[in-house]
Amino acid sequence: MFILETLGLVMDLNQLAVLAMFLMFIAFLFRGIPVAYALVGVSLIFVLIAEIFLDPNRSLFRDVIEFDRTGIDYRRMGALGGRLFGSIVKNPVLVALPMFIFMGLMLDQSGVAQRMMRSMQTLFGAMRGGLALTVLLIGIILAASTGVIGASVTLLGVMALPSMLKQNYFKPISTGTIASAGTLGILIPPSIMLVIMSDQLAISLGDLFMGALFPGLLLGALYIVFIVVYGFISPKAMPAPENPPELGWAAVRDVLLSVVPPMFLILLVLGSIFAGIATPTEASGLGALGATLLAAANGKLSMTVLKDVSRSTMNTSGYIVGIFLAANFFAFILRRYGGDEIVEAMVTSAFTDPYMIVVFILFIIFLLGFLLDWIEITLIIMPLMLPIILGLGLEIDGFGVVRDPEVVWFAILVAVTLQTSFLTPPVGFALFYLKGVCPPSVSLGHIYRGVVPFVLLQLLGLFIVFEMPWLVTWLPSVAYGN
Amino acid sequence: MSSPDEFIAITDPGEAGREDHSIVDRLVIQISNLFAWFYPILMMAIVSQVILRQAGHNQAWLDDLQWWLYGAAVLIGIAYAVTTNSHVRVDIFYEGFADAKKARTEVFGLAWLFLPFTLLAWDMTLHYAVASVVADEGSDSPNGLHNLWILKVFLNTSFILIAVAIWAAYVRNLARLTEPVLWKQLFYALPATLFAVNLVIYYAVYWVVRLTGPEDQRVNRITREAPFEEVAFLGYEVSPMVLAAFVVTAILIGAAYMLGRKPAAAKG
Repeated sequence: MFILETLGLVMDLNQLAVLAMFLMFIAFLFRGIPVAYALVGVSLIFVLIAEIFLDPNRSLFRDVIEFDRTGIDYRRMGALGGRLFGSIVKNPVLVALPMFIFMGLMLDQSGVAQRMMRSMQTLFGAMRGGLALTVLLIGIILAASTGVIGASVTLLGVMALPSMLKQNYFKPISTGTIASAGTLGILIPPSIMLVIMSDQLAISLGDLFMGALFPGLLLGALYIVFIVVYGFISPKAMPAPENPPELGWAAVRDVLLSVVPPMFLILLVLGSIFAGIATPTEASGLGALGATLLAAANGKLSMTVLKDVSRSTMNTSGYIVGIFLAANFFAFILRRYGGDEIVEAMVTSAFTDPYMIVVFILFIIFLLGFLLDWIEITLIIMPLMLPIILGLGLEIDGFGVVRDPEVVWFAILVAVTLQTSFLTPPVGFALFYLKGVCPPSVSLGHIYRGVVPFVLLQLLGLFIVFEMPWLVTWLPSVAYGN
Repeated sequence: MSSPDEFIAITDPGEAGREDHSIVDRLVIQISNLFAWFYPILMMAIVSQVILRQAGHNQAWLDDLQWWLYGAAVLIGIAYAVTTNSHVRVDIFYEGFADAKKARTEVFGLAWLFLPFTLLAWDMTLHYAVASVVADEGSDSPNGLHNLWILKVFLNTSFILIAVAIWAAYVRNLARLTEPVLWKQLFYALPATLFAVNLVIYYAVYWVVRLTGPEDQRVNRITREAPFEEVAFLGYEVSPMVLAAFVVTAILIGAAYMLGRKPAAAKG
């Protein structure tokens, strides 16, 4: 009681409860409990707390500490039925989620990327820094043809890292290049992260896809410039091979031929959206078919591959939708405790300048990126931020065409920020994937050191997009302008 | 070093750890494998719709079919991911845990956190599904897929499959800690057991009252009157159904314990 009284001087019980919800969630997470279970578990515990301790009519706490009623009771949770059906099942935008996953898995099986890697390595490997540039180029092309990252990092790691090490590239720069090139897939459209953002923020997926294109390419370009400059400053870090092989036109032709299939896929997905033939959701289906056709053309498609790709799609979309389900329930309970208003008040009272508030939010998301990865941040944090952004009165030019341009801009800023969450230790997806395929001579320390410059480049990219919102809003305005 | 293709090669998620799977785990996986075909079908449905629309024959029911297929498949996918243990976790510390600690984490996460929620979600979607069946709910679009109630009943049913998958995975993990005899199964999942017993009692009493009550009783008043009316207990207003759940659960676990003991006693 005394503890509660003391705490009551600092914050009221609702604030305390909201804080406790987040802390308990983080604690469960680090105990190794799956995200979805942790989210529903915390929510259930706070349902019980509301039912047992926080009923204003019978609470022992009433005299000790202030609180608002949560209004949680068993009967009222019946609203959950409609919520779950509306947000998970009857959600045409989310149809794109499994389809893009299917497409990504199928593309990995098609051998397209391996072929591209082999031919480009032969051609560019002879130049100083050529292998690093190859990795970046393939990273960008793969990013534009698939919406998931796992395989890109793995593939680049298995194929490029041994050659890089053989040519005596420094280990940190090699692993850093691979990890960051591989993660571009989640920013450059099509991307499952953007699919989920468009659902959570209620904005057009087409706008988001088009809006993410320039920022994604910008990041890729920053990486390339960095590698080139780094190569000049420190030639020892990326040496050319001692006796380069003879190169002929055959090598050039191989590269061109290997780039055709991914270009076909990019055209199919982004082209059909741009041309207005298909909605972004439908483009996911076209892309899935395109990837299947590419696998068939390379003789890699069999009943087993189709079966395993479908089952893996089932698995991946299953766990993502699991977090969807859980985050939905969590948000429902959090709101009952007044969590959204508390978070909103906290964020908006931090600064008066609306742009500083945006910076503040991005900073929080950057920090959260060290602990959580994009799925949790997008599903838990983004819905809380939406009303704040809408209330700021930001003036972002939508060229008269883009709806809610400030939200689209904000979503892309968050997407760029979340790029860092893949690379920041201790919980960076890309780092784990990469560690899994590294030879033993490469330590986790090398990988950690290697991502530092790329995280800084991502922050630079973030700054550029922040200063020039037209990078985001111009393309959607052209794409949908007519 | 192995060839790159081996690293990229895809495997069937349902086959990993198959030797530990019980028949229930296999059932969940078989059902999921069947529903996995919805994804290629969904792909064809989308492509057909794009082609048909370009040809000027837009099919509204194909639009509906897309999210029907997607919705059904991802709901089953949640159960599948439980069985294949794929739900994402932060594993920086988990990786280093001893086997028993990992198993305890699983037992707690599955039986104390996720299973009670699944039961709650089942109960909440039950009313939602029943209301839809009663109203014979159709599509928003005149040419869409009608009988929307099928999907809502499916949503409700999928939580049973998820619960079954959780229970099987829970028992599998409990076996890593101790001999998973029935009373231990029930006892180590106490919150879920209590809740399940509570639901069974609630609906049993509800139907007894409803079927034995007078002809003119008002159905929507049943749960507000005796025997559902809350009673005072230790200074709280508590539903008698909740109190009954505690008692029955204790009896249940006790009975399972006695039954489980007999063969051992006979042997000695």
